[in-house]
Amino acid sequence: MIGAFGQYIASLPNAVLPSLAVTEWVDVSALAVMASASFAQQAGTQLADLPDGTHVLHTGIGHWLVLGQASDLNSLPSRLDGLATLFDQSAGFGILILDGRDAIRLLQKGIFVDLSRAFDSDTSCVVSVIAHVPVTVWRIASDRFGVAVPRSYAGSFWHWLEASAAADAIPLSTLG
Amino acid sequence: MTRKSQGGLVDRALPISFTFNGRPMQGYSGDTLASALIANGVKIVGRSFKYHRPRGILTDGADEPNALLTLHRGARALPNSKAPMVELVEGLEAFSQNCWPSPRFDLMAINGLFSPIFVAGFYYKTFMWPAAFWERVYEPLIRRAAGLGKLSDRPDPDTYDRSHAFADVLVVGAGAAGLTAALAAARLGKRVILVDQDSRPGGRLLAERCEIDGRAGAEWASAAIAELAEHDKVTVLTRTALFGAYDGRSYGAVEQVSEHLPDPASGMPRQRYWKIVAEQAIFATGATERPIAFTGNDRPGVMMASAVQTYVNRFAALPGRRAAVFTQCDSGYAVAADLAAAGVEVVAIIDPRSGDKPGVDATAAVIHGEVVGTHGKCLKTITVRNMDGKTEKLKVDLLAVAGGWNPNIGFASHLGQRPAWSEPLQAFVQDTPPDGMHFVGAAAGRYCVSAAIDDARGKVAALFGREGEVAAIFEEPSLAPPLVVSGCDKKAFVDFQHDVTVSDVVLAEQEGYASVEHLKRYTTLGMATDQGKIGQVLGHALLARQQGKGIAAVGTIAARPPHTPVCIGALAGIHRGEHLKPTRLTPTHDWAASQGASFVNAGLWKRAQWYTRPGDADWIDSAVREAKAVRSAVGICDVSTLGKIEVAGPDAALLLDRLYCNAMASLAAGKVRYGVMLREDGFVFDDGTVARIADDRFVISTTTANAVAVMRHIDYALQVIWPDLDAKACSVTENWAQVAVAGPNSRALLQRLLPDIDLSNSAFPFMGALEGRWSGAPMRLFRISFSGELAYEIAVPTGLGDALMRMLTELGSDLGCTPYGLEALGILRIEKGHAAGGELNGQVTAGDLGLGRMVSKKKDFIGRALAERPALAHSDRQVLVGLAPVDPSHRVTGGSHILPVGVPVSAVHDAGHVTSVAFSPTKGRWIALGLLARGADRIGEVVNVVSPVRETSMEMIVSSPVFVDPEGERLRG
Repeated sequence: MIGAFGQYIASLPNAVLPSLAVTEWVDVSALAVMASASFAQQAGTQLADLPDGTHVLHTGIGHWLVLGQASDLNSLPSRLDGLATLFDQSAGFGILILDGRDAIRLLQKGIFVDLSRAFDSDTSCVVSVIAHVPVTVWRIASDRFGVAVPRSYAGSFWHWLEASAAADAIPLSTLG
Repeated sequence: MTRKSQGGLVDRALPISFTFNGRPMQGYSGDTLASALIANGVKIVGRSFKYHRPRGILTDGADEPNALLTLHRGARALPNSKAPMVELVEGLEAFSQNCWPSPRFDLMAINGLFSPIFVAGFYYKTFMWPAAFWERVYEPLIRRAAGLGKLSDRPDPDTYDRSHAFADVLVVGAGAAGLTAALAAARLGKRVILVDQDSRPGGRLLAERCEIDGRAGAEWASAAIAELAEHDKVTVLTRTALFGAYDGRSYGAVEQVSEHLPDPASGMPRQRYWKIVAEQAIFATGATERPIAFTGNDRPGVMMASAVQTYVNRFAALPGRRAAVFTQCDSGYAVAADLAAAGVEVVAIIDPRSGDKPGVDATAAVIHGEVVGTHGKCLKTITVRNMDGKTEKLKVDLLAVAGGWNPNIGFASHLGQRPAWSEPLQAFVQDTPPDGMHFVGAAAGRYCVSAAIDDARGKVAALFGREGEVAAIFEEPSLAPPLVVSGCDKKAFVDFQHDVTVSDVVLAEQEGYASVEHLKRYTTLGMATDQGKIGQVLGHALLARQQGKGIAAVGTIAARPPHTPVCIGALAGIHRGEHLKPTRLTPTHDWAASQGASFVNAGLWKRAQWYTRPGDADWIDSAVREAKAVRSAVGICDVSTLGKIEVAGPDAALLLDRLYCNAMASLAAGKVRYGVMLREDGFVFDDGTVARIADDRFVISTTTANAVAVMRHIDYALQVIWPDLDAKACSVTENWAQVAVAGPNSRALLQRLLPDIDLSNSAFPFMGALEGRWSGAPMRLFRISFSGELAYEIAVPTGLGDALMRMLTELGSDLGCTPYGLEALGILRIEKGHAAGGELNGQVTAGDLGLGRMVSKKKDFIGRALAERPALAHSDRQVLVGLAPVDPSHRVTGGSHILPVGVPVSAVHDAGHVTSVAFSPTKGRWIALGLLARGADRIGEVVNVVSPVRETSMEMIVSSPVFVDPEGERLRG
């Protein structure tokens, strides 16, 4: 599978301790999970104990986007049987991982949501737009963030990323 | 040079060279362009808007009406830059505008001779006829004669950035009150954003000789900034001008990022547009000094007293050597003292207040009277009239004018809050600002530094529940009202930038323009780029006087954003040129580009329009070649842009039954059905296919244009109309690359691609759907046709789209496999009579499109009730027909009107219009689809097809819309 951002990331230099490293999560499975209001809590409980490395993003009331290795998500249909409906979105997103102390600064430039208050729990995420491009952003670790971008918008999103980083003199690089 | 040898906040160790109108000059780091011009002895900087009167620098801030200069040359030329707001930078080139050949000698000053007739309303009265002259003659002439600077008309070479910020407290203005408020909030642990338009925080503390806590004001300000820098929750944005207050406690600001740098780093933007949201916003925006209306008050050498103070104290630049101060408030006395301390000879303080004793000592002789005239091209003498009516002339080259203060409260008006007149302050104030907005310091009428600091500290404490720290109630001083010197003539200016005089206001009132809103529009008072910050209140006071009312009864204008002018580029940011809007690329975009595709914008998508091949004379050649290939061999086309929505759950079939006008619940798994959705009003909303891929799961397709609208429609239905339905819907458009494979050889091609699947007609008939795997990934195959040929659509995960297209090309090389674009797609569907964008115009019913029989009578669905209105089923409705020119050599154009033959070409005979046209390779002529009244009854009739716009007219034969294979044998083959 070809990553949505592969051609752009290939042009970045490697760095050992960059203030902002950009990588793409290519071999990811993605499932949109939708539960009715009456089953939302139970569905959420089922999603709470997925294997490490799985990202459960609470995208709305009764809605989640679950990202992870395919093998880790195999159990979801049976776990959520009768509780929620699943839709495969594994090929629908380009997923960037932004790593470094400048990551949240750069994201905040683009998102009109108060990020310092938005990531108040492990599953919280921000569903918004950056430069008119739909994005889903979540915090993976203190200075590590995931950004899911619909694949067809990858080029436009990258243009924003490059231009905005350059405007703040934030060098983009990949992890060396 | 008029620069003092010492003092001020400029760095004499860092000289800066610049030019003004080509003349080399020198300033220092810390200078503004205005202060550097003053230090270089420049008196006249430009000419006025209408009368081309010589003008000098009047103020020290963003309200400057006179010193509007063009900076830079060529594409970077930036007109209407306010000299007091421009930081001096090495190599800066500045030019006067609105004058020729020079500001000192301007030929257009002849306008001044006609000033008696160029009064308020002159244009309205004079240029009324002939009407056609307005746009072509009058307006261009007037603009040329009176225009401001000129844009370069070349692409802007600079870049612009955008950012968002959130805070507990936004503080606007970094003077004494603003710094105090920011410090107070920061010490409480709040997230604070402090914005200030100046390069150096301090506000009036930088201009006045005052002390706070035993330190000079500027020193105290520096210490405050240093402390703020220690707080990790504080952001200080200098060179940042707030320009608007908006709903949701959001604010717009523009930061000057690199304008002040002689050699900005690569990638550094010129400006940054900030969107800020703050729970509380404290406006320490200060006050603007009011002018006094007297004859000749615009003469170079006449300046606002506060500005004089700034140039003398902050920049050590002396605007004159022999000065007078015309003041009706105590602040003027302080200016006189500062001038004297700077070595300027202060000839007199002219104070019209009779009995009031000033709160400060006078450092010069006080004349109780008024200035009634000024003289000289640049100021040489003033005429003063004392209380007894006696006049005397004083020889001065500088007149500092202090007419009182207008608190800067315009931001409250951005949210609809009108200001109220305060009698004690003799100014408009904001007693009840919008929620979350607070005015402190001079912006609240607390003009003296100690009162401003107490006010700011107290209001922050009150905001965060620390009322015990609130300072004592401030006693408002008694101040003088706006002053218009009696007997002043046509050269007494109220609005300097728009050349509005006392006489203009008086005339407007006499002619019945009694409201401040009417006065504004008739005289243009307050409509210039300074939004009337200098003279508007003065004008309104004059209007009140003429009407015998108090100014409170007359009121004032509500300010609107932007508070100060904003470059369009700053708002556009990165969204310019090809990045004006985001672009969506199909999964096979790179492949299409490699195949010579020309692309067309379809919404945000870039879609291949046609593929140029050697020998194609033009795009029509390419499209016709591609369409022929589909009819005779096989074509491949990326149709990923069509909306794809999965609907799943036990009630999914029931939901679709209610969404589509035709039955869907009866659709068997593994089958596809064409469906039409109606809007509530009964008209066609969208069409597409519905594939049942499991008992409880469907995939529906939408048109590209309506992909989002249909998703929204379904969400609305599920969340609002039928929340009880156990069904969910999710857009999967981005997840699948979908390719149409069409033509007689399509089965053979796909069989090569999918050798393990039996694609024979019996195993996989027309309107079949199946799921499988290709290249180790999920695959969906639908046997559907938009072209009328044997055709399929194959869907694979988006990341495999490119590989799929390359594989199909390779496998089909001996089958005549040809990529085709949107133009060929259009030809094929028009030949087949399928409705698309031109026909699905929001005004057609299913019956109009010949789909009436699809509409179910057995179930309910969205749009059913209103679709049964008599008018929507009337026999006179325009319905879909085919059209072909009687003369095969004729080419019809889209949008042409259809009329009966032999009637006059007029709207009353209009019977319909042409919706789609194409050259049909099958028919060997141009054909069309159209909507024609009673079209079904007119098959075979010859009609007149007219395009008044293109001045064409031709006879066409009405036919069935299906030109190719009406029995549908090919697609079922």
